[in-house]
Amino acid sequence: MKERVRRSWLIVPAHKTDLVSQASATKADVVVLDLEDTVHDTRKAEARQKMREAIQLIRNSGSEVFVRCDPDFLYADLESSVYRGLTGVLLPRITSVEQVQDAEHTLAEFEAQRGVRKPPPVGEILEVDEARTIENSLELHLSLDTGRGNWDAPKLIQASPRVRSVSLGRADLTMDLRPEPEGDLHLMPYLMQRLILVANATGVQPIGAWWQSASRGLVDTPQNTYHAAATGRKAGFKGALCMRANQVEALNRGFTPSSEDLSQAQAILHAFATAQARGLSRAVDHRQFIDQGIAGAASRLLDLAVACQATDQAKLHPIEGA
Amino acid sequence: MAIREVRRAGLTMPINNPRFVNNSWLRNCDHITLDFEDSVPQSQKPYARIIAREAVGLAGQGGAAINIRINQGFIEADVTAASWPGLSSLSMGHTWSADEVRLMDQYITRIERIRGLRPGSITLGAACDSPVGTVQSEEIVQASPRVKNFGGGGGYDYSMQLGVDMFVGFDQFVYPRGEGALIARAFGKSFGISVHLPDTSGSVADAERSYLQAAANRKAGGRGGGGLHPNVVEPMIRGLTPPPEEVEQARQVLAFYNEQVEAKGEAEGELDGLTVDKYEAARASELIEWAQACAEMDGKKERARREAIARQEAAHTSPGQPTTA
Repeated sequence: MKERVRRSWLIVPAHKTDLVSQASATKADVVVLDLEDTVHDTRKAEARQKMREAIQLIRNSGSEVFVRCDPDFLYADLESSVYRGLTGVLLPRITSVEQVQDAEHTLAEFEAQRGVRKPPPVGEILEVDEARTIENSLELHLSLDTGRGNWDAPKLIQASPRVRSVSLGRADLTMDLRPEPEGDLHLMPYLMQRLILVANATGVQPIGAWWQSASRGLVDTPQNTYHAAATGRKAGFKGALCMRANQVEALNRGFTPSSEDLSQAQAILHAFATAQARGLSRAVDHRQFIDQGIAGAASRLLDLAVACQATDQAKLHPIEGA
Repeated sequence: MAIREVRRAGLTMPINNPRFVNNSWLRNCDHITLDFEDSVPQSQKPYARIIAREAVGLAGQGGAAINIRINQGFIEADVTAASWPGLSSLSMGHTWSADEVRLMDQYITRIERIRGLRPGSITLGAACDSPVGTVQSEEIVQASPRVKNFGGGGGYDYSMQLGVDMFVGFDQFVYPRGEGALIARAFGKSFGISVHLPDTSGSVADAERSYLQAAANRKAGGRGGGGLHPNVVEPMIRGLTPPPEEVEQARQVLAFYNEQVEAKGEAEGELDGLTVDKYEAARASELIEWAQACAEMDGKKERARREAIARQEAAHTSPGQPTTA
């Protein structure tokens, strides 16, 4: 399964038309229309009513669309959201396999009723008669924002084949993960590495960034966001959530290989190819040993850069109604 | 967030040392651990068991919660000797398996019945201070409903087990501490937070360092602490008690959330650059409750000490001269 480039996941309250409209212009890889935390209980009905229109607006702008459901109102939230253009559902506060399976069944019900398929990558066309497969079914993203959810991450992820990505969600707020004297958030290095490890072992994308500031990551400054993203990419994250439009560019940049990264990767591949042409199994370039593994990593980095560029290009010319 | 028991500062001492035990209640500790284990030589352990009942009463005079740390190898004898009125909890250093915890639970249950102690009133602390304990910790933490406190993942014993130096300039226990803290949270137990501060001296009497450690722990969500020397008690209490300005700030955050966010049907607002939503409001609320609980604990200890001194004076006895515990 080819991984989609999802560097920035911008969460916006679904009932705030101005913020949704602003999100459509950010070039976020993913916009998450929120029905949970950022929507007061008294506004949830209004937010659900606006969902279908918001999905189209965001999708037409070239971003993928997810909806963050409130687990307390899962059915109503999915009923208002499972329409053409939606790519997936972000589930917060997940602590049990039953919650994941409940979401899967409800999602499947609405998909079947409404003939909804997951849209193809931005810029590609959805074949109308395409048979339903797991590839074109709506996705689930698990937001593991509690101790129990994080501890049970492997079995929660494996509870449904729709689960394609996972994040620590609001763990920084519900688990006393507060700043330590040296800048790290308490427990965060352990939790982030554990999430990356579990995600790789189960074949889903780890989403997150190496937040360090005393400020909460999801509303951090663009500069801090960039550093968190760049460090997060090197630690194994594929993209990160944010809640401010001005963080999107920083996330996209931080999760895209830099020009220095690309120059180095090209030099590595050149040195390795030259060594191979001489019948050697490895090269030495600037005192670095370059073997098959190092060359493979450089090659993957170039592939990622190409994919990022293709995603950015496609967003410039999204296909209307795709 | 439920407020935990107030156990900001405690001292651990060998139960067979009368100089330490007799003066322990004058140290203003929130909790005191009387040790049956490492600090008591093998030859003294039977004597330690004999004096446990009296020691629990003595140490508890100042309002501190009393814990006894038992030996992994003498669970039945130690639990039986330690479980008397006035005891809050039992702990076992070097908890290696869930079976040990279940055994402790069984003996406590029996003793509670025989001695007329309220069922379930004696809680358990498990310290997974070895790699074996870390690997077994998911089972250990679920072994008994009495397990309230879950700790370990670093410190002296872990260093010995791993064969590494304890006092180094980096955090060599990121993984076991993280795993312990995560498991504790996953199963609703409290975990002793100890954020990493470089410590290359190993001093157990450094008051300034104790304050810095406690203050850093509190900032990271920690609420408990303990040590070996009376010098560290006051700094730990000070470091783990919210200062008045933070309590005031929390009140402002809570008022702002209630009046300017929630009441207006919004999910978040901004107060002096801080994004205030239900999580920040919950954090502010917890801090206010914690400050209140700390004040109540301080009042309780003050009253207990006054009453104990009055009793002693009435009996023409001296409370004893302060000495090193």
